[in-house]
Amino acid sequence: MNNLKSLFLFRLKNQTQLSNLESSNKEVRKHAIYTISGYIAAFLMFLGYVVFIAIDLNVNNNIQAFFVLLTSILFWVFGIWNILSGFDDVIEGKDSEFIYSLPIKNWQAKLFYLLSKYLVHMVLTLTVLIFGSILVIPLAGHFLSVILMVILLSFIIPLVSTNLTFIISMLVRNILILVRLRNNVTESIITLGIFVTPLIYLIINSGAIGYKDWFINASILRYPLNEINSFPFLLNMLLLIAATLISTFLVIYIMNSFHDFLRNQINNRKKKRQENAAFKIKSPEIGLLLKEFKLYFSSLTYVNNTILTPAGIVIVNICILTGIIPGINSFSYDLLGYTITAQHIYTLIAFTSVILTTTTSCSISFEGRSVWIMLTAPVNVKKIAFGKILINVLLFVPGIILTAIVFYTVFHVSMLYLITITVLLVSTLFLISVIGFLVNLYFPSYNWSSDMEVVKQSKGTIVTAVISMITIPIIITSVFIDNLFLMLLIVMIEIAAIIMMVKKISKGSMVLE
Amino acid sequence: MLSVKNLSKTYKGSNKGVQNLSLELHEGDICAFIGANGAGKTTTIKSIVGIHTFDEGEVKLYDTNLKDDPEHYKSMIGYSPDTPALYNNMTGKAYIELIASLYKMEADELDERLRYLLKELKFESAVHDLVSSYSHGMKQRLVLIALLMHNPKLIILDEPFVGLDPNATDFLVNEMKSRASEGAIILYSTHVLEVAEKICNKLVILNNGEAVVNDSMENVLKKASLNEIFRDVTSNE
Repeated sequence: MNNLKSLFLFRLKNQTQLSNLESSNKEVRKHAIYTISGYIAAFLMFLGYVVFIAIDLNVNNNIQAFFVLLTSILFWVFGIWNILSGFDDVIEGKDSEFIYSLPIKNWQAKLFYLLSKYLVHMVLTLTVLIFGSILVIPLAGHFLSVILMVILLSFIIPLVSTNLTFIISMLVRNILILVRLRNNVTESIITLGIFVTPLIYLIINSGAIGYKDWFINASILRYPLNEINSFPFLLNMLLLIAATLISTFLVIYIMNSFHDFLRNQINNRKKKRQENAAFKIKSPEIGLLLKEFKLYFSSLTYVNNTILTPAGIVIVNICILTGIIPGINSFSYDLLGYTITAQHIYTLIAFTSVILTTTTSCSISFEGRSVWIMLTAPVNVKKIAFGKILINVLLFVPGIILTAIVFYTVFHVSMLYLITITVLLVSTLFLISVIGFLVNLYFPSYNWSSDMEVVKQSKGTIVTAVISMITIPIIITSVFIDNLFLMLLIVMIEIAAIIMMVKKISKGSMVLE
Repeated sequence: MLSVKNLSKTYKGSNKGVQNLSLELHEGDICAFIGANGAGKTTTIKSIVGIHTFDEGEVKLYDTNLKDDPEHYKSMIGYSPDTPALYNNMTGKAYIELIASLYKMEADELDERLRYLLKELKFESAVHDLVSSYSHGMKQRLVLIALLMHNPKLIILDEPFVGLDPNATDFLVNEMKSRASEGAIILYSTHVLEVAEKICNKLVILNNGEAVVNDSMENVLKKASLNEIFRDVTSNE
């Protein structure tokens, strides 16, 4: 067990870059300091949010529901994070061969990644809940009961969310393999869909407007603090403990007994392909585009994290066009004297989906250690950019076509408005794709060890996300003002910005420092 | 002709790299690049093939300067890295097609050269498998196929014999000799001194980022064996 503990601490130090703080290379130390600062900043921001909800609930005389809300947020955030990260890394890590070569027991090697995940999530949960207790106990009392509940919840929340998402992921994967429909896009959409369905169902049926009420309704902890000593509360806790124990036992059993089977399923995609003797030569651009498609669809994590908005916009449009979302045109409400219509909200959703895409912002980094192929090939950055940007644009093509149809058939906009809004949508999509690529060109990172590290936590993705957040209100305001001239002006500005950035890309280089 | 003049490269935040290296190789030359681990061989090679920027100096292949026209420069080179990281989700065939597309090869020339390379490297069946299923040696062989198929004027190999079986090693040694006799320039780093002694006509020994030996193999071997010279040079570290 001591070996396992040392190994876990050693790996954690590497993953969090703490080990790089002792590097003799100044650049490596600097990078480690930035990364660690980023992690600390993100965690402090979350703690700040915990303070905010405590104050907000207290002002609204609902402080007793604090742990119900916090439990719910932690549960859903961990769950969605687990699904976006995927479980392939838990079954077979990049350093699996190293782990198996160490003097640890076979079951320890098999469960190493899963236990690491459990432990990190438990420590994070415990820290957040203890911080929450410090805020709430003076206001709500029940010191001993709260401390006991916090300790139990620190096990329950991370274990149940991890176990549940693991079971859903494995079930979806196996069913898709059974019906021969498995690919990363289908697997990603169905897994996430199944996990969030109860949340969406509870939101729709809650009748509440505020998101805090939505999460309170969707919490696995059902009773507020003032009922902490009541029988229903105790029963709720007992059921959660039972669910935790059963699901943990089940997941550990599956991982230990069917590890090779699960590992083979990951590698199944690596089996022999259909033999076709003829070698085909394409133009460099088409060759690069095909390569980009293969690279993109090769990673469940990459697909998971970037398919949400393109798929989401298609699903929303289909729901509107088929009447699953009925009477959308009759919806409106007043906000600060301004009437918000369904068309406004729909426009907001469409543009936010397009802007919040980060496919290109990690596309260069995603080359990883294979980047030497592009660096030594006779291609310039512009050609490489072509393939990577086009992937993101193509992902949105179905969504944009359906959006145009909805604008025309549901909101009955004029042809001129339809053309303008579609052009604005397309130019915004190109703009954000080019921004993402350019940012990644300046902040590449090739030495990553897990897909999540590059897809969600890289500097390129974070910088692009910040730029997107700034872009959204500017474009949305122009659309809300409903002035065609202003929208055309924005299109012109976007096209000018795209041209400028493409020139910058042309002069840029992927060559390593 | 490959001309490297006063090449200097130091990594940010460290003092490792290569200093003031000059090198001139002509058609038909096979140059061995030798040095202890961390001497700067890979840094130099990565600078010459355009993976790394370099702080000072000039790299030219015939009249093409790497910094001025990298696309044309790279169209004339073939490179094999020390660790062949490839696109795991691609089949060997898809990888070859990608490289052929990037080098704008003609279908008939590709067909002819591929048939020869796939046969010689015993890769005809494996080419349809995904790269992720390949061993280190198979990846190395795929890289060799991809770099040799477009007939590069400059072939740069970073420790090419690591992971290759004896058959593939024999093939590569013969191919290097035959390509050189046809006018290609070959530069390769290695720790296999016996092979270098046999096939190379030029030698560069690096120590702590500096070229301590930069001469013809014939001149060097007049003084002592390659093993002795190497030990002598690296013992001063």
